Formats: sequence, structure tokens, C-alpha cells
Amino acid sequence: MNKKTILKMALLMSLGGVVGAVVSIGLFFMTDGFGDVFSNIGNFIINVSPFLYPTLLITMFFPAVYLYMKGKKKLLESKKIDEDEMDILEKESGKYLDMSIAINGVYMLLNFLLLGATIQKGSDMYFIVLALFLFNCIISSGLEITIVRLIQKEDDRIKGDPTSFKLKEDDRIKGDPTSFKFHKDFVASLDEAEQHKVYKSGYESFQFSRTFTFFMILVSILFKLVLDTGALPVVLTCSIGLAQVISANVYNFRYANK
Amino acid sequence: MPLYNTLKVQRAKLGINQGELGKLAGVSRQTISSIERGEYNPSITLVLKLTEIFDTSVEEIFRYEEDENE
Repeated sequence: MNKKTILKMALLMSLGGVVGAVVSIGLFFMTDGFGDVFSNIGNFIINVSPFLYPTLLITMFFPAVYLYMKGKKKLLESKKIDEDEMDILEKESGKYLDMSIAINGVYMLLNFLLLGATIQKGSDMYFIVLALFLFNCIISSGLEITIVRLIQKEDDRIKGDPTSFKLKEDDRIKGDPTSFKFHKDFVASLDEAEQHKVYKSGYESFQFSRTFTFFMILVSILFKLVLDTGALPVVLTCSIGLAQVISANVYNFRYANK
Repeated sequence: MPLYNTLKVQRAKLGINQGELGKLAGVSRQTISSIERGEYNPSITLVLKLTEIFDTSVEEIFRYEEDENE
């Protein structure tokens, strides 16, 4: 470890300490008012929930569809030009499709968050909220399947109209996006460079989510101490951390003994 | 990593494009393109497949050079 790294770590730790101290002191003195604030926000979200779902649809799903269409257009254009330009267009197309998948993923997660925050037994809007949630889930899944099928269809070895696509035995990129085995089949059918990218990004996202989970555990403990949110958030965040640590070790063990 | 290749030249000799070479080697066109640009170092298996396709030696296609900055 060089001096620069040590200095950077010390600076980050001091900064974390200062932020933590300020937040703790602030929350300690503001505890009384917080209960009302959270309950008011909760009630507000429940009341406006039928409007939040369409808002989510307009602000997240439509942009995801737009990016998909832009990515598809670039991908189809890339098939008609020479190899050097093809690389540029394919990269652009990949960027749009990746962004579309990412926004669609966030859209799906926000739907679940909204459902969790707004659904209440006995509420007048119980079925409306449930119907809106299901509708959003269906269209979000539909978009994801469409993107995967486009990628499979537009692989070098397969030609034709992506809208009339049906996966055949001899297609290179395998996996039915509606199947539970999809990810396994899909990755197994990729070539070595593509698999390398998938594993590398998988490893980096695991490292990030592990750090983020520990941060969320600390936040949930802080909320329990200051806002009396109970033990459940701590248990849930710790369960996620536990699942990550155990699964990482199980896979390490499995591959170390292969 | 400092791995240089003559894949583009070999391809031209054979008169095939990246997609066709990809099909012969069992990888995508993008992977062939990444190898040509030096962005991806192929596995030994793929290197040997390529030597078979071009009917030449590994040294004719790939050349390793120490990077002076490393």
C-alpha cells in the first residue's frame, strides 16, 4: 500500500466519521417529529398511488421502450455496412439496449417498492393498486423478453425479421427468456469473450452489492436506534448479506474443487 | 496486454470477413473484431482453432512483446 492509498483511506474514513456523527446527532434531536413525518409521507403515497403507477410508466417504461427502439434501429443498420463501421454502430446499439434493460429493471423494482409501500388490506384501492402493479409487471417483462429475442435474433448467424422470431436448435445464442433456466442456457451458449465479459461484470456487481448491503445494514441499525423501526429491517438486510456471503463461498468451494 | 496479431492479414489472404471467420472458429463476429483490435486475448483453444483455419503456426498470427512501460 503506498502513501497515496493510505491517505485516501484515512480521508474517506474521517469523512465517513464526520457524516455519521452529523447524521446521528441530527436524528437524535429530531426523533420526536420524525414519526409524524414518516407516517404523513406514507399516507400521502397511499392516497396518490393510482397516479404514481402511470407516472412511473411515463417516466421510466416509455424511455426504456424508446431506447430499445433506438438500439434496434442501430443494430439493424449495422448489418448493412462494412466491418469497421459495424463495430461503432454495434457498440452504440449495445449501449442503447443495455440502458433500456437497466431502466426497465429499475422500473420493475420501483413497481415492487410502490406495491410494498401502498398496498393495504381492506383499502378501497386494494384491487386498483394490484391491477396497476400487475399491468406494469407484464409490460416490463414483455420488454425484457423482446430485447433478449432481438439480441438472439440479430446474432451473426441468424438472419430475418426479429418480429417473427422463433428460437431454433441451431441458433448460437440459446435460452428461452420465459424459462427459469434462461440465464444458465444463455451464458452457456455465449463464446469465451462474451462469457468473460459476463463473469467480469458479475464479479464487479457482486463486490458493489456486498458493500452496499453492509451500508444498508448500518442504516437499518441506525433507524432502529433512532426511529424505532423494529428489528425486521435489520434482519432482512442481514439476510441479504448472509445470502451473498454464503452463496459466494459455496460457489468458491464448488469451483475450487472442480 | 502486449499481444499483437495478424488476424486481419490472414483473413484477407483467405478472403473471408469477420463474420465468416467467427462461424469457422465458433465465436461471434464481435469477438473476432475484439481480437483484431487487441482488446481481447483469446484462449489457447481458440488460438489453435485459428491456426488450423489459416493453416499456419501460432507465431504467424500472434506475437507477444514486452511492454517497456510495465
